[in-house]
Amino acid sequence: MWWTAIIAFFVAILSGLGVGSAGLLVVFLTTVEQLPQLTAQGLNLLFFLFSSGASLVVHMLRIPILLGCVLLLLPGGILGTFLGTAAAHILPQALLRRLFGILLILSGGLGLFKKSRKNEGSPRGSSRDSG
Amino acid sequence: MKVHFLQILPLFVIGLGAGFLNGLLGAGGGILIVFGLRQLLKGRLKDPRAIYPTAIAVMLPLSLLSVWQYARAGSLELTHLGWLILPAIAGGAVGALLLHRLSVKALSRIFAAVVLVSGLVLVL
Repeated sequence: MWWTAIIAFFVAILSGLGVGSAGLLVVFLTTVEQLPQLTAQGLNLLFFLFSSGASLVVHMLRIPILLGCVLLLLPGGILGTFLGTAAAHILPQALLRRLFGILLILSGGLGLFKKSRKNEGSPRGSSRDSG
Repeated sequence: MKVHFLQILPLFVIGLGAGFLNGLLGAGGGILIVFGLRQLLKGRLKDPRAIYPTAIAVMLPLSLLSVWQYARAGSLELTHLGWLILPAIAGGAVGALLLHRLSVKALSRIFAAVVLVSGLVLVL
């Protein structure tokens, strides 16, 4: 189990750096720890609360958040969360695993093949995501 | 930065998609918000880096809601959580502190390649 903590630490550093965690913890928990997909997803959500909560505090000391956008994104997000979690508990776990794989391929592909942007995005041209 | 009323619907839709993805797969909502806000606010932000803490600020309550829904459905297993909390907090803070000190471009590419291969392993 100690290696779970080590992997979690490095995934959290990547998340805080802004290169993203993209659910890598889910891959670890399903393949190495042999947890069911849905259980791993639930743990990844909990993990995100702690890792991103900590990085948000540090980020907010340096960069202001767009409060208006946050307030306008939340209503749709709340509705989407209810729909998404309901779908997650209806769909077969094998399908969820495949969908998760497709999400990783898209996410990895975007990060790998996108052009560098000048003065856009994170400093020094990093590719960031937050969940 | 003021939000134009014509941006209300796109922001609702982006939020809907991010919440759905996060609830369905337990990850990925933040990517959608970052991508959506980049397109929607292109050239209008004094500091484009503001998109990232903004995405986190949206995804935190949505993830909390997802966790609650997973717990209600009995899908939350806390046996591994003890091994995750401290590394998550420490790693998240260390990563955010290192952000202005490290060149993360190469790291981003390596990470993206790892993610891509992980995805292929899951799908194939």
